[in-house]
Amino acid sequence: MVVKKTGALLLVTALSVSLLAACANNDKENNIDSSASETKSGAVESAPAADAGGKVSAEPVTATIFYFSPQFTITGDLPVLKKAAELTNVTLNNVAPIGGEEKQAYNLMLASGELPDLISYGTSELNTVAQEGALQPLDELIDQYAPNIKKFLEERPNVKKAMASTDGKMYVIPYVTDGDAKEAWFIRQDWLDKLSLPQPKTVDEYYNTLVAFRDQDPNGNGKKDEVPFFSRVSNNGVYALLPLWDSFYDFYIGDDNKVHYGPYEENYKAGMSNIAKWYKEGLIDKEIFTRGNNARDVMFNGNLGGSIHDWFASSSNFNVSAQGSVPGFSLLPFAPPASASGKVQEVTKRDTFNGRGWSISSSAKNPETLMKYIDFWWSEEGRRMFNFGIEGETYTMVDGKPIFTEEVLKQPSVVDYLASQYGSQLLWGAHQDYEYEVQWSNKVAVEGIKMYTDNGYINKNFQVPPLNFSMEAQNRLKEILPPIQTYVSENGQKWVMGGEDVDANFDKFNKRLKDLGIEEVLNLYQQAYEQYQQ
Amino acid sequence: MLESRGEKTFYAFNYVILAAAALITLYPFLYVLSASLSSPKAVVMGDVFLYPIDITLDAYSAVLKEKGILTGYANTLFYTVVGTIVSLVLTVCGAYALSKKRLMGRKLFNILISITLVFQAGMIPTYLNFRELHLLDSRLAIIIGFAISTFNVIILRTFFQSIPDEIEEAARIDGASDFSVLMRIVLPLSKASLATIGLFYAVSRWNGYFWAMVLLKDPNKIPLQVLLNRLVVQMKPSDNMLADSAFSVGETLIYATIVVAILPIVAVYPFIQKYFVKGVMIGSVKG
Amino acid sequence: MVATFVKKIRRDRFLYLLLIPFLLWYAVFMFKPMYGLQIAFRDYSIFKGISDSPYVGFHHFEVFLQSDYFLRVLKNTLMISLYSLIFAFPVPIILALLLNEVKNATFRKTVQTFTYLPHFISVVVVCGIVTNFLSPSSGLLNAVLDKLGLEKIYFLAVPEYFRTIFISMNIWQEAGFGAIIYIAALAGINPEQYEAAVIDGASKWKRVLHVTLPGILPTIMVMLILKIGSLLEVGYEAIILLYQPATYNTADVISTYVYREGIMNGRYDMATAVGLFNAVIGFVLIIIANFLSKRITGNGLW
Repeated sequence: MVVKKTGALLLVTALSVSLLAACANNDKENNIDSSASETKSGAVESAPAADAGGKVSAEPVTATIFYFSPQFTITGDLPVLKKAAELTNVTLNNVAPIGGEEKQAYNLMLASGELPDLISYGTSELNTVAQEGALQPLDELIDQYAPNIKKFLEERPNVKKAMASTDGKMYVIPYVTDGDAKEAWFIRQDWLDKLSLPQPKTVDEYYNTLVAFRDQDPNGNGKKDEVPFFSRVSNNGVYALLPLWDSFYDFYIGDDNKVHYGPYEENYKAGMSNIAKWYKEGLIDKEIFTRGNNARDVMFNGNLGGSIHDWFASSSNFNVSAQGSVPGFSLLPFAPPASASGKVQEVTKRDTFNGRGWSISSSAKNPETLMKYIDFWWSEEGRRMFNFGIEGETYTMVDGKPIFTEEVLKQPSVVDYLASQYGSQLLWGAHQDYEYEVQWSNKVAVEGIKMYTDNGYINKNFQVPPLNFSMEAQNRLKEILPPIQTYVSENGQKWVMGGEDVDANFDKFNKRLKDLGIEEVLNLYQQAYEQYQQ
Repeated sequence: MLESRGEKTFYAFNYVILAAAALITLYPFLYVLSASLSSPKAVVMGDVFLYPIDITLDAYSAVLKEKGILTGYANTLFYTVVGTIVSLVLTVCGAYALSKKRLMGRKLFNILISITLVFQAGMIPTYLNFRELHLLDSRLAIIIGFAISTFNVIILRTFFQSIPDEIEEAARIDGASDFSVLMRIVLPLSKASLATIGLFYAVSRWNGYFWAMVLLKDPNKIPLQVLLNRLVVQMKPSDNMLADSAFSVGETLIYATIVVAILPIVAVYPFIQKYFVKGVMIGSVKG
Repeated sequence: MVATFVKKIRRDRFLYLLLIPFLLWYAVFMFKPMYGLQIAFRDYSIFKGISDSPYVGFHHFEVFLQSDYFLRVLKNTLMISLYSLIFAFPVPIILALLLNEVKNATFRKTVQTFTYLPHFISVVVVCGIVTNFLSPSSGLLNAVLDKLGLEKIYFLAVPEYFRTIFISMNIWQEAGFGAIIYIAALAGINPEQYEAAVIDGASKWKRVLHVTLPGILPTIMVMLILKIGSLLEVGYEAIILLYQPATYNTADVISTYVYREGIMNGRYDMATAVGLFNAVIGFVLIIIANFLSKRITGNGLW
């Protein structure tokens, strides 16, 4: 009897305790909320605008920010952010969760209805949610409180154009990259030397070079195991070859300054049948669709890979890291082979925006202070801290230029090190400084970038810039574009692997794209592009 | 009991099949273990097959040096132990009550909980629910919020139902109440099923990281899996490359992470195997 | 009428007491948030919230059902589930039965522990192992084919192999853990029933047929009903890691389709609609399976 009563009592107690605890939690939350709004400084109007060293707010203020990093714990305590707090009187409190997926974390934040003061995320999503009233328009705030940003926008008007949302106002301060180079064509110079071949200059010469790689055993082990061309991007790395036949696998801006969709163009036929031919002849990695992220490590350290089209910096680094396994290893960028029509161009370019930025939410109580805080990062000192870290700790000034310390340069990943340990190089709205990248880039990469830039190989008007679509356009695109993309990728792999003849089925493919609505998609893109150019 | 020759062959065959099954299923774990102790290069190159190559403890030291790992372990232990107890208590409550055919409304309740097998509210409404209950960023949310798994309730109820009615009737004749039948007869006879359900809950809580990640913000509350998941995030293939990844992640880090994360829970099973012993029912009918 | 009602409650008051926290939990944590299922009928904007999102009726369902890919993903989902029912479902049962016949306790416990290990290895790693195993250039399977003089096969790019690969991987990973339920059920069979059967002269095979299987039949039936109810719920995680555009024809299932077009695009409303669609069908299946099971074996979910 006693036991029975105790049992029931326990259950009831447990439930009550939990309810009480829940209430206690509630009180705690309320306290934090009220303290945040208490610090809204009434003296903001007369506070000086942020410049090097000027305090942004008369009293110390804490601003909440959503900044999600899947790998690192980014808090306001990191050295760079702390120093910024000393200089501006604004401390950051990161409310993003620690693990998981960014998209989810962002969506949950929106769903909760409690927006932090600052939100750092993808620019197009921010522009979309701005239309629903989640963010504050920044145009006037910039005009009055952000002299550094204002100056930057005046010098680079296309930034403002690209960043404006569909209602013409600006809601996001974007991350602006520096430098143009992104990817290049790479080839094994040591293999070329061994076979006494020059660097190929046209697509036909490239073909012959790859055949030579396949047949003449440049890795010298007596086996025909060489993989002339491969990629680490499983789903569409093989399509990096399409520009050799004046084709492309996605949307691009043509010479007529209009938006085109590669697979819908005539050249796609020649491009795909050639790739299928190369694949059949063993010039392309047979397992290119499943090789995976580590393709370069496996292929280069195993002395099997001949040529790739990939990012400058990480690819060039193999010249150092693969020396142990393959003495004499040399992977050099070479000029893009002239296409079937004679064009010499590199179609990839570093995006002016990497797609990230930050905004001020509509519920923020002190937007003026926040604007000034953001502007701090665009001042000379702020920009330097953002790119290089803390003077004396991560860099020193040499002849007026910041130079990284040895400690920083010997890290396996300079960017990760700076972000996780110091809080610089974060992915929010700031202006990158190419100089920082030069310092940790491999010599091969730096020279290669110089070659590509000086010779004008990089086509600056090929990639579609970030466009702003209206809500209707977006919803329409979300419905009709995915089936088109699925169809193209399915068909593409079938053609590459020889499951179907390209020439015989091209018209059918083209018609199917039309039926799926590609013309409508192109129209929507074209409209957005024209609006962008105004 | 004499065995026929047919039965003898069967036994031999049985051993062979089971041994093969054991080896095949042991392999992934062996691979993970070997990979965690090998050099990253050997792993990436595919040299590691069955045993470690270029043995190194670097991966383990990196994992164990990760900030907050001890707190993570402590939290996971807490959530698992306390959570499993809470889950078991609640599940036994429901399974026992619903196993009695005479209970009025039984069919309705069973249908109700079966609905939750297929109908789920969805991530965002569930999150908003926790928010309305003021259970965000609280350990209580993890302990109670996911306490019951309908699947486990149904399994336990099925086990309870398979206890012969005569046993309960005999006890009733002696004047026992529902409560004493539960405590003195049903629970002791259900050791195997309780161990099973307990194991399921424990495993699910130990491995669970999704909701912990979504609901908890305080770094002192997060369990091991959330912390370690960050290390593993790199292994998922990404569809587009927005930035250049300068160096390949220490592959072996991922494997060391897995070993560190699963070793304790994997070791639990051998300890509870003693409950899966035949003959639990002996003497209960006669007595 | 009321009198019997009260009498029953009085008689079973302890049981109802037990049910209170139990049902309360369901009410608060399971049923309460289900109002969110209406997202399926709205043009959902996360920021605006559910009630401020415009109502669109069955639009999302129409889009899904009329999609060119609907029939394909439905067929693939059903095929994979059926294969799983036929090939994967019996394996844990057979494993449990085989283990039951082992007399050496150490051997039995060791095998049990080994077989349940793969369940704990994350799906990413398991898929990585499978991909390596099947690789034309460095995989074990193709090396064996090569030695036998046969041509190497790029398994993961061939649609016809996908189901087999996926189900095999599934069995490999889950059979051992899944056997635990049946092992527990077997422990509950009264050994005296075996003895009685032996005295009656029944052979081992007859003993299994007439004592063992009936003994665990309730468990088997319940598991079967649950499995049938989840016919449309083939999970996307493993498939995403294994499939290729070339194998979409057999590999693309409802959940991967929703993942690509729903989740990746942030279209929770579409994802919820499809989830609701799956749930309704799943529940209908459960009702049918439950009815049949009760008719034939007397066991069921309610």
